[in-house]
Amino acid sequence: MSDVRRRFVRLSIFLLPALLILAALHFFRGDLREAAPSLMMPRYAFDGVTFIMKGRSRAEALAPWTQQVIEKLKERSAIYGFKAPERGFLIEVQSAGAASECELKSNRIVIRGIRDDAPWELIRQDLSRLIARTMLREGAPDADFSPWFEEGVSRFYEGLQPPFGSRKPELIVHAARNPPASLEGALESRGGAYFAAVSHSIIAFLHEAYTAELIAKYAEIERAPGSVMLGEFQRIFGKDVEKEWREFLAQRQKGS
Amino acid sequence: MPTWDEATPYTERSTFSRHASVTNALVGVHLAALAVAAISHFAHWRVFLEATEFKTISALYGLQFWRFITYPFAHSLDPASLVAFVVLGWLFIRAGNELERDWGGARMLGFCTAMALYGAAAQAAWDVFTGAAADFRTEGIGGFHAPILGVLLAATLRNPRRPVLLFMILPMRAITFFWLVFGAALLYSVPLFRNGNGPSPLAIAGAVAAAWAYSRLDPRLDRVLEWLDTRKARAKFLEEFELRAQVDILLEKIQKSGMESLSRQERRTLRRASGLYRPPARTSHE
Repeated sequence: MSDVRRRFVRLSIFLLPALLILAALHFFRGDLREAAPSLMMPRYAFDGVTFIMKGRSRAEALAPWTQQVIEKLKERSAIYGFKAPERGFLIEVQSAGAASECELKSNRIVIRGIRDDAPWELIRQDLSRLIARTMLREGAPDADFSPWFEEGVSRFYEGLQPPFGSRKPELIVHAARNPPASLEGALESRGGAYFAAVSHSIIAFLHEAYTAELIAKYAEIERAPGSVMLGEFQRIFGKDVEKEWREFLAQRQKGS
Repeated sequence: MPTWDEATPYTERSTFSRHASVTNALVGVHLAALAVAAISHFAHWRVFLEATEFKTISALYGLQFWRFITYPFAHSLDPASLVAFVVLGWLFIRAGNELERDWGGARMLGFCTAMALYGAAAQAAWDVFTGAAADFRTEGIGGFHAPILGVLLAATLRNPRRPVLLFMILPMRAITFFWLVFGAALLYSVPLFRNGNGPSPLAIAGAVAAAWAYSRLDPRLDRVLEWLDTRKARAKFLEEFELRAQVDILLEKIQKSGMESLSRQERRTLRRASGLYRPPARTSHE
């Protein structure tokens, strides 16, 4: 064996245990392999909000806006009991995927489908909606919110500028053009086509037709531990609520 | 090698190298890295440290493999780390040059790299098993403590009973001196662990364990490789011996019956044997 070859063999044998250990660690924790890109993404922390995203300038521009959304929702906590997580928000912006989400009982919000070089303004819509949803859940951690209620409230508070919390005419018209067979069916729905539009239209209708006290009374039932019994909605808002809601939709469709 | 009677403040002067060596070059690169770290610190520019420090999640799962060997160049600048840099750097110049005279530059460079790799592997194993790897708040590690203590141990184990002078005054055995340095390094690194490119006691322990295993196993590995070489040479000699005997028989046959009398197998044997009688290739310096 030549001297060079012998040296190479010796070095390889010496390095082999380390390489085997590292390979074993790499395959032993496959979950970390998948989490690595987000764990390695730069983090920018601003007074209660941490952004995990590429581009410091985008994070710096988004931070004051996010803090404004949180403050405005805190001010409007009378009906829905919005509360910011004590640990602050962890907002992750990813270029891959499509559906943004916020994890249950977590302060983490994942905004997906935003390119690394996209302007920060594109992040606002999804972010405001998911902040509202997170703060709604944080205000009643033991509640088992009805899906329509969670979706409707978060859509209602979705927005690009203050005041956050408004009726969205395009969503209402969309719901009016594709109305569900019955209000009960809409209240029991857990997703599907027009779910967001229909859920938003119910919340928007409540804010137009009823007083804040009455809406807060129903919200209290939603915020109580456990799921909401069938018929509670009609008990609070009356038997004619479905008829009034359909009239509200028809009126908005005509006006569009 | 000095004996106990010869231990004086000048005893170790003979191990110092003023010539170009891989050890001296590595110290030069570390000095340059320290200067870059200082400039980065005052310029609030963290790119260098962020690119070189060792973080398990980036190195092992983000496939940034260079971090396994670059983290020794990510030096921190607190006073304790600067003192450690001077002390360990000085010990590395002495022990590293001595070792390099025996090993050669390439082996020295390979050994230093391997020590960094083993230090990082120990750190990675700790991070994975404790869950620290999955925590984005986990700080990276840096500093050349792990590879340098590995080199110190390898140099010490070559002659553990030789005399050295602690603080250039107190004579003691080299192995005692090493364990004192190792203990001090561990004590110093524990409070600085996970503190802005601070050293890691786990990386130090991992590199020292690897250096110890290397020092114990390398002579045995050498013997195994020697034995393999001998066995191969013996097999070749026996094969040649047998071939020469066959060639003698074939030549006799050719003399009697001519070339045409040889079978295909016998011709092949002759062709194989022709290599034995070829003169060795001339090397360029001849």
